[in-house]
Amino acid sequence: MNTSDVNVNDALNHCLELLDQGRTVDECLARYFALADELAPLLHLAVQTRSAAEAVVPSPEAQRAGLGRITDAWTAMEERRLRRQRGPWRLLRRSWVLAAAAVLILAFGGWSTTAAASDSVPGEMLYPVKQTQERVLLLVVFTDSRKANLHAQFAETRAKECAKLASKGGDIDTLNRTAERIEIHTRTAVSLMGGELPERTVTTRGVVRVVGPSGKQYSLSSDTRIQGEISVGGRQLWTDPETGHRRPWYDEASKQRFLMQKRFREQFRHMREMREGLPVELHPEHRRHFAASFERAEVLLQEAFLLMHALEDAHHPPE
Amino acid sequence: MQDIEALVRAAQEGNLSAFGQVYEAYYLRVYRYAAARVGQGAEAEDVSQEVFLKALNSLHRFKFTGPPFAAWLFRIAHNLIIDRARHARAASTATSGPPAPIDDALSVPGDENVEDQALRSLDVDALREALDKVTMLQRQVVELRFIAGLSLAETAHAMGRNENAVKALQHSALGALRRLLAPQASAEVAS
Repeated sequence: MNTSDVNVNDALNHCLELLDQGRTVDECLARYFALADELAPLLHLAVQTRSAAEAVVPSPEAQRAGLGRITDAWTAMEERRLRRQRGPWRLLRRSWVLAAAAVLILAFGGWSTTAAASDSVPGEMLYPVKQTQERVLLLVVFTDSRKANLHAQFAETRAKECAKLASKGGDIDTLNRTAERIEIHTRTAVSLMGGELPERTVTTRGVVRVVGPSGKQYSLSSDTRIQGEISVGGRQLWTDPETGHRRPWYDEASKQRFLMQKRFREQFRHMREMREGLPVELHPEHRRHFAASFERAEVLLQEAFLLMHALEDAHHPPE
Repeated sequence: MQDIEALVRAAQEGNLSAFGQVYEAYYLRVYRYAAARVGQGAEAEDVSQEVFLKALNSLHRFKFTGPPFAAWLFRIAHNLIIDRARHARAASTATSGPPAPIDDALSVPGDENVEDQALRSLDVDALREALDKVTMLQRQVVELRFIAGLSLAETAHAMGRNENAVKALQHSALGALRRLLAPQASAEVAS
């Protein structure tokens, strides 16, 4: 073999591999005779080092004890895993839920703070805590209908904040942003329930209209207070829950649609009450602005209310 | 190596017996590596057990697309020994001598015949002194390649270097040891 081009590092390594395979030092050197003078002492040293290391042996007791510790550790790991699967906190296995909850608790000083934050309105110091609390609530519910319920609840919260801002004479920009949040939450709630609100709320001659999934149009007067029995186009939409539902709940989804419909109706009522109860001492311009914001929200809630009915109709058409 | 891969996969899927076989396959080499660093006996045994416990806890994170299992295991061993040395230094500044009594680590067992013992003990004393004098990387390559018996590829992964760098390192490490052990090595070769 011509070894003139062979890198000594490669030759040494190749010889070490040959030694591992049971070849002798002389056999290795025969392959790299041009480098033999340099390789020979290195290979002898490598053999001596390996030979010395092979003489180092642990006690069999220690090796068995190690296996025992591993078995114990394995058993403990399995028990922990099974406990996590069975335990009441299995939902919290999602690390991000824990993280979000921890952030909420640690960053804002515990539940007493978050409780105090629940009364805050945009622009106040504790308002970010309230927003975080809402995000965490959205993280810990897993079904669309529950998320929809929360969004509807948040829409109502934003409406109450609007009323507070109005009574405190808050600035119009803050009120606008808060009113926009009512719309965002309401649209999200409807979307999670399987519907879609029109891009823009439109009332023609005081009538609110939506088109259902089947293409059928639903409408009601924008002046309708949506209370007691309501009929649209001669068909009964809703019976006041205090007197019982006129239509049965066919299934869980059907029940959720009815409950959401009820929630939108109540929000609509509150919104209208707030609009009608705007403080008389407000600056007339502010008063007009707040009234317009509330009115838009009322129409949106009427549309959401109608859409819940339209969705139910699509799933369970009237006989 | 294929067998080890199958055993590791089985262990990852929850087979304790498979992990036991992995332990049997690597315990001796891990022990020798630990002994070279912390000295033979109870501490090396303790380190070896801890290496496998750590490997067990992180086994689900081991990926076959990454470094070979042996390299992964010896990296755990390396990090563990470094951590222990750091804690030991912090705990006792008074006894902060070199943590690797290689003479103890490479001492021979009691049942070896006297002739072999005499031959080896000569090497061991000199080797201990020589390893204390080479660079840390040279020492690491000797411990992984010649004491723990890792392949070139495994050593490269365990040290986080490419194979050519390890080839060069093992050449320079043996060269450095040879110069330090020159009179003894010459005598050995001549005999």
